[in-house]
Amino acid sequence: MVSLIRMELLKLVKRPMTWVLLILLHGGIGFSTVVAALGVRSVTPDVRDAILRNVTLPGILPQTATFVYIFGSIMLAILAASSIGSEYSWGTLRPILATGIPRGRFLGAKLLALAVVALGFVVLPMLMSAALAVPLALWLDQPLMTGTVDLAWFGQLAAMIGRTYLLIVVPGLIAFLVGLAGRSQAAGIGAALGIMIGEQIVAVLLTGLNLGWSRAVVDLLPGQSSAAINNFYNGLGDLGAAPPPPGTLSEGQALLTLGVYSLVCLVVAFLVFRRRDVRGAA
Amino acid sequence: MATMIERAPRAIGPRGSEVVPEVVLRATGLTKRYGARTVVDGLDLEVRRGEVFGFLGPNGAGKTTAMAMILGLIAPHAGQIAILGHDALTDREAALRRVGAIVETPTYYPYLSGLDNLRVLALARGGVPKERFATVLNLVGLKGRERDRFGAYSLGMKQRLGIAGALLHEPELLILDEPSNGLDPAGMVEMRELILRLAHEGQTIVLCSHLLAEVQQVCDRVVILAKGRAVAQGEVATLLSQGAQTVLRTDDPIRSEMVLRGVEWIEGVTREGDTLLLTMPPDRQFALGHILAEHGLIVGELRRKERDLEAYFLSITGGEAGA
Repeated sequence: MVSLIRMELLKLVKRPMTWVLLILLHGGIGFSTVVAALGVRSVTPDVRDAILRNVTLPGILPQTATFVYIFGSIMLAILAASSIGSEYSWGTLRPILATGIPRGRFLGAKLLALAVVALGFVVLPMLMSAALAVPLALWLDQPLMTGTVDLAWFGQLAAMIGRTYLLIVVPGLIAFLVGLAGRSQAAGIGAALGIMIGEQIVAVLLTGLNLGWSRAVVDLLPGQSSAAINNFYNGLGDLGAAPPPPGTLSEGQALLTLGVYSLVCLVVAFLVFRRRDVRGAA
Repeated sequence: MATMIERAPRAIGPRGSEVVPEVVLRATGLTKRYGARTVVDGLDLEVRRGEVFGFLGPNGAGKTTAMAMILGLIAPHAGQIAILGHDALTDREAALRRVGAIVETPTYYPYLSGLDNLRVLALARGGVPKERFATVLNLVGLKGRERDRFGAYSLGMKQRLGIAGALLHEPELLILDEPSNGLDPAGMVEMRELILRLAHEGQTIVLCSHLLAEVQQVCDRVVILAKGRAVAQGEVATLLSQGAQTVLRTDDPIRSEMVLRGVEWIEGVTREGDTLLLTMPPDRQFALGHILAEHGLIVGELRRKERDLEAYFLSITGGEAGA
């Protein structure tokens, strides 16, 4: 299994798409942070305080988590759908599976390698943001770090990274599953983006009905759970997390909902892949 | 199915080398349907150790589907497959561990170099020493180009890398689907020589090719598929001798035809100009000469004319195009 994970990591690390997506993600975070810092002198004092908090440590970290949640999930969905969809379109499943490796093991290795890369999609932007916050703090005459950094703080940081990881993994798994079922990276990417956008519309319509069942259905949508976690439960210390308004999903229910979606995607992907014939390239 | 390998008495192979006719691949009753269409219909075949086994059939005959079933890519609806003593349907990993294959055009990762593609295959297989990369790249003539992107390779180079990938783990059974596809004439000759060299080294090879002349030169035995069924299977020499004819030229072809039509063991006589084509047992040529001499007919030419594989293939498949 270790050998197969190394194989999948080799494919991902040598794939230009992985680096392009990572550069886009980091570039987006860096660009938006620097632009915000540049505009800090021409805004009102209350907006200025908010910006300074978001471009220096530790406030830059939950800000980065939100950026990763929004854009990182799209990029991971693209990578995940491509990872399996292009195996079909290039016909590369044939030489690999003809070696006799069990399909479940192959798929497991592929998902584990993607999981490692997904961690990079969360941790690397955090490191870059932390590094970027240092020169920005010096330039803006701000302290390098406000607040107390202790073991509890690191625990909160780890929890925030973990939650953000889960937020980006769910769309990635949906894209992977659709890419696998449709034998197409375009199908996977399209489905993941379509679900992200379509879910918002469905949620607005169902909320508008204001019925018991429609509210219950909205609560079970993955995007609602992700939004609740990011907006209200993914803070760092007293930063970033506003008190949730009445009716917001509890953190436990939101995490459970996302966990169930992840599990369903995994089980269906394994069932589909194990039974399906592998024919010529698409 | 712990031990399916059968050992038979040692025999002399068609290329003159001593072979052990141990069955390394056996398929029985192999069947695949897509909806109402049966693509492979009860296929039985046996490949013995050390032989080059040809897999022929018109386009759509079910060759690639049969190969894909053998390699575990497609699940059969019925039948059994045993490879190197392992049931390939229930113990695929063990069955395919010592098998190398290219199915259709070699398809590798276009953004990876040839060498990295071999690394991917080596990691999939596990236990392939690094030195093997140079060995197989040398063998297929890709040394020096291994760091180029696979996507930039010509079709011929892709075929060569496919062979290199199939040979990476020193397989006991090599399955090659159209290995000469995309090669120029010189490349085809090289590929044929490579296959023959591997065969002489004792490599068991299943060769699927539409180049019938190549198959005739390289293969010991063949199976011919038509509409998913095996319509002929056996040693190339035996199959070709089945349709062989005796060519006869005498000083009086019309009288010779009349005389020979009355001979019981001559199954058919056809006259083409001054030449007679006889369908008769090959061991009766002296008897034939004796009969003609008794009737005062003088023999100018008497020889055996065997069909080539192409003629045999066309006769057995009803002239369907493609192989």
